[in-house]
Amino acid sequence: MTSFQQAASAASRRQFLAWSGGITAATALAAAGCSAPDDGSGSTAAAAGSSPSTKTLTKIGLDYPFTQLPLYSTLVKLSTKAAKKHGITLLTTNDASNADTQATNLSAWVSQKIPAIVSFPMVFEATEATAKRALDAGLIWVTYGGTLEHQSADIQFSFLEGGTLLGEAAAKWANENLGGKGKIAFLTDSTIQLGRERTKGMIDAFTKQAPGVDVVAKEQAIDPDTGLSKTRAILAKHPDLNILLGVTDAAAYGGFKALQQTGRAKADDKTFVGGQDGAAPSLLAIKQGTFYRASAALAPQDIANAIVDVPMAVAAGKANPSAQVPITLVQHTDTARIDDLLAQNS
Amino acid sequence: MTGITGMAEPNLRIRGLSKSFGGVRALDGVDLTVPAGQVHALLGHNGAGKSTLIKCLGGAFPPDAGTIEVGGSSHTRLSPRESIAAGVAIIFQTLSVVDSLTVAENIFLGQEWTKYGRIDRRAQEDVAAGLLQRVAANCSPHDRVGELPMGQRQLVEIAKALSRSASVLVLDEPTAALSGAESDALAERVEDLRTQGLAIVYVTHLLAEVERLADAVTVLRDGRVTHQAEVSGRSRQELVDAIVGPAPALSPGATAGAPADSDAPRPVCLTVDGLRGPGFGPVDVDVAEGEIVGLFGLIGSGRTRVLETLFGRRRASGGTVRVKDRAAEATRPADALAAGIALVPADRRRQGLFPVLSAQDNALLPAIRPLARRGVRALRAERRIFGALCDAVGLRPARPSLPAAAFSGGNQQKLVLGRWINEAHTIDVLLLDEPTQGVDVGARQEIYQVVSSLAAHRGTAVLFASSDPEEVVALAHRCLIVSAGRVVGELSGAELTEAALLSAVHDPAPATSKGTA
Amino acid sequence: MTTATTSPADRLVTGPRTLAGSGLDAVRRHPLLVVLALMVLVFQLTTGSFLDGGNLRGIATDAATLTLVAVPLALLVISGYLDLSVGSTVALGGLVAGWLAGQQHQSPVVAVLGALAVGAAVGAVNGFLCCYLGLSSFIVTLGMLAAVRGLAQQLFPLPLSSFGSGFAWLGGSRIAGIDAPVFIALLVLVAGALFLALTPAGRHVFAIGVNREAAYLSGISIRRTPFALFVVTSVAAALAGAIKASVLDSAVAGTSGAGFELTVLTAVLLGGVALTGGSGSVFGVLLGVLFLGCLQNGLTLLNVPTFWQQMAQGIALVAGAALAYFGPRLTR
Repeated sequence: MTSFQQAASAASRRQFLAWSGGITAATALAAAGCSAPDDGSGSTAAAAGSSPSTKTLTKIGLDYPFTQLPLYSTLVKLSTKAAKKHGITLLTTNDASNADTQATNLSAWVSQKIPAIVSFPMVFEATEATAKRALDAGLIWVTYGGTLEHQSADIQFSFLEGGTLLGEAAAKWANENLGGKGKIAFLTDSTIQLGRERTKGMIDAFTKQAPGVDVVAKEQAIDPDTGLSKTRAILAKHPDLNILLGVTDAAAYGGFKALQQTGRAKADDKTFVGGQDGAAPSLLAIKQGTFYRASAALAPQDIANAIVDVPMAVAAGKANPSAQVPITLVQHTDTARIDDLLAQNS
Repeated sequence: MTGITGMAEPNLRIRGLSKSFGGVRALDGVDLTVPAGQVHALLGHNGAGKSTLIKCLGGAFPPDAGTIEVGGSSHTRLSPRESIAAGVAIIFQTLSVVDSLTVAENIFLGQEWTKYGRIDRRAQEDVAAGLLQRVAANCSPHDRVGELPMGQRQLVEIAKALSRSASVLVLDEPTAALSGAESDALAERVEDLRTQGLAIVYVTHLLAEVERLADAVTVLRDGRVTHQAEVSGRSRQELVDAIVGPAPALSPGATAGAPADSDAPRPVCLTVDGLRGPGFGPVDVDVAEGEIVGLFGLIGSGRTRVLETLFGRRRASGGTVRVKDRAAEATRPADALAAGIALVPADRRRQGLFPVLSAQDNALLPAIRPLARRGVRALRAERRIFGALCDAVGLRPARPSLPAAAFSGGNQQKLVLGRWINEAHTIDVLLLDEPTQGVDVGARQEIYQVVSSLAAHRGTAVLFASSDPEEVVALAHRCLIVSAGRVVGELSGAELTEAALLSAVHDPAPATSKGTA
Repeated sequence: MTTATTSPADRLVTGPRTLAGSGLDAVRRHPLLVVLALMVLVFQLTTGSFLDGGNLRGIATDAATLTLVAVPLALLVISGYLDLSVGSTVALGGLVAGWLAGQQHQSPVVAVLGALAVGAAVGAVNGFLCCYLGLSSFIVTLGMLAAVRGLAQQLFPLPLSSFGSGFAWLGGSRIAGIDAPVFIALLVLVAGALFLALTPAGRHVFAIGVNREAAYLSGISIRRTPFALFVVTSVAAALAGAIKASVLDSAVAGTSGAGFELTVLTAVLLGGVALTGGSGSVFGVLLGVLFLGCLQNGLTLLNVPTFWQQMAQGIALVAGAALAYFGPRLTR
């Protein structure tokens, strides 16, 4: 489950990126090669005898600041495994969601000449100088979750699209099961760019396709505690709420519990809860056939692959090494996909 | 601005100064004139009104009546700031220097010299060096004050006063915390400053200092001037008489100089044998049941350490302590209390009182647990015992829920004392450190009465430390003179007079009439 | 003194003890009561549904875990110490309980006892370092805030969920018609108030907070009581974590209870407990908790936009604190 800290904290800045992952480009550039020795990867031109894939890149540094998120552990585990396949060692930082700590750790890596750095900057503007120094030192710099002026490549996600997928699915369900009428509440985030994109995607898509449904509340909530108490308050005023969409699965899961606690049957067929991220508790609820019906999910394996493949593609001198990680909607019928995602998360 | 015939106009002239606290008159029409270039000694018992006078001068209290003239301008009341501006500098016993700052920073604290908005350290240190030279201090402007010996700190404070161009310097018992050599050095400085034209008010207990330094002397008793004259060949005895007053008042404890029924010798209750600790010892003391013994000595003589060691607040490095026939060496206050020894500390604010808690909580704190039944407080019994205590010690007002901070010093002391003398507590030995410090005259008698009747009726052994000879005479059956951490003499019975005590500390050697070192 | 034989209790000056008098007295001592009443009135008039049973029940359930931790923390603060580590202890307690119930298939009782034991261990470390070694409780518990969070993340890197219907009992069942968490919170409130009023240790807590040195010289054990309060506070935090885990049927090491320490401390301070120690009451703490709960709930009911909500919360907090400070002077 992805629970997020209170909106105001700096920690929450770019957390949504945490849930992004990508495969499309990644597969294309996969086992790229080893030929280009010099320019990108400064330090370790390995001995001639070793296998081709390890010739240019022996280490990748993954700098992912939000260590409190479950995704962090999952990502480290999956990308370590992915790197190992290519004989690459994965290094990690412990930034503990602190932008200053992140800057210190990145500087240390640049000084140590870690040949490839994949960094998810907490403050993009503040990281520009470090990225430039890394490039000047002949290192590979891959920006995660955004784009910097100085970079070798980036790993990107489309949050607007994830929100849109969820909004459309809920609207379709409302038109089919409620005759296009009823009440909806949104658990939103307006504190960071990615949250706003997800929020805009889900609200715009839903209101456009199910204009007959009343929007009774838009409340800030990204963690389960807040989701629970906000939904309780909303239910006090609107006990007949039908649909609850969350900007995160964590918040939606809190709302899911609030609905149950006010007496909603677990599989009530006039209720729809949906979230974004593909967090394990939500996936389980979807799989069990409850009224938690959908999640716009990211696959950690996809992100892990991109973390290894994008720097390798740069090292190999590929023309367009960047990756876009897709977001897919998961519903009750997607059993295989759910099991796959749950397996990645365990 | 009033000129005086022929002489230089007086730098300090106080006329008809009166001040009351509650119903108690602390100052009653006091006149005091100190011309420039004079050292004027101010004498009197604790509570005679000396500190009230000084505080009115420093602007801490507004006087009720009277005027204060400094350097020609007349005031009916002063704020602390006005007092400094008028040229008054007061060097209190507890110095007001900041230990963590340098000498120069201390001297210019609150009046920093600035240049382009920044403190001009160079200039400050130059001037500070000059001021230090003037008071013949041997420290440097860069030294941290906290690392200096006490005498040097005092000189820093005097230098600070000079930097504010003070014309009236008040020294409040300046030698109380100084070593002999430091005291001599200070005396030379005072003489220097006199020739530099300062008017100096010198508060002291020590007649030797008066004889050496003072040009004139004023003695206060109960807020009034009882003696005021030039010092010229006056005998020590005359001054003592002026301080003590005519025919000592009948005080409850001191009548016979021995426990009430002195015929039958009482069994010994507290036996201290060779007690040693950092800065004192070895000390031997015996206190019989129902006996009240004083430890008389100056500040720093070690009397407080002896009491605190007996109570387990400090560790003894040797010696034995027995209460009746039980061993009673304590390493924690709780041990001492279990052995039947209780202490009423001198520093009431820091060590005795719980200001925001109610009077009842303050008085009964150690009794709450013993009174409780099956872990639940016996509220009714607490209230009853508190009521009885109020009667016994004459607490005013007798309001159990009033916060202790709202009581007068004397009544606060009754609350702290009451902790150990209520019916929920039986103690064998009561230790008191400066039992009436900061207590007004009326309440002082009441506290003496409480302690005396505790000894008389319950047979409690009382050992108290004091630097006030009047108090020792009023309360003690027997007194040990303490100096440099040792008992250097003993006075009892008819010998126990204020005069004898005063001369004993002035000149310890001949006073050891019954010396038991 | 021994000579006094008559009981003078009847002569003691005491204030009038009428019902109205004590009501006024309560307002004077707890000006937050007035603010809270005003707030409830405004929310009821503007939303029309604030005082509905369902909504009040929601507020009570939200306030329950806060109360559970705020009461022992208040006692700790009164005795002159501080515990900033409760947020992480909430996480660890919830995870341990959830792990025992969900992964290990233990009975809910074992799961809760496991959480309490872990809480007691955290509290014992805090208490030992602060009370027996004399380290600053601010620094120690700030360190423990990070250390316990790290431990929780190391032990449980992945989120836990689906703890089973037995464990849901803790957060979801009703005792005597009251939700279980609320029932527990009420018990804690009553126990805290009785402790302060009726036990010797309750008085000692105040004495130690006001003047440790004087308490020591009065022969009071100045270490044992605060140590016990550290343990109780952490046990309460672990229980709160278990309740949260039960209600949400999930727990995450990185984010459960994050920032909880500040919310609890805010409630405690709003309730009139002085950070300097020595003063405060359980009733005041209850008011502080309700103030925060009602504010959050009412602003949600009013559908106030996010940033306005944040601003309103900040302003209400400062206003509440100001009134609690100046109120007693105004009514005097």
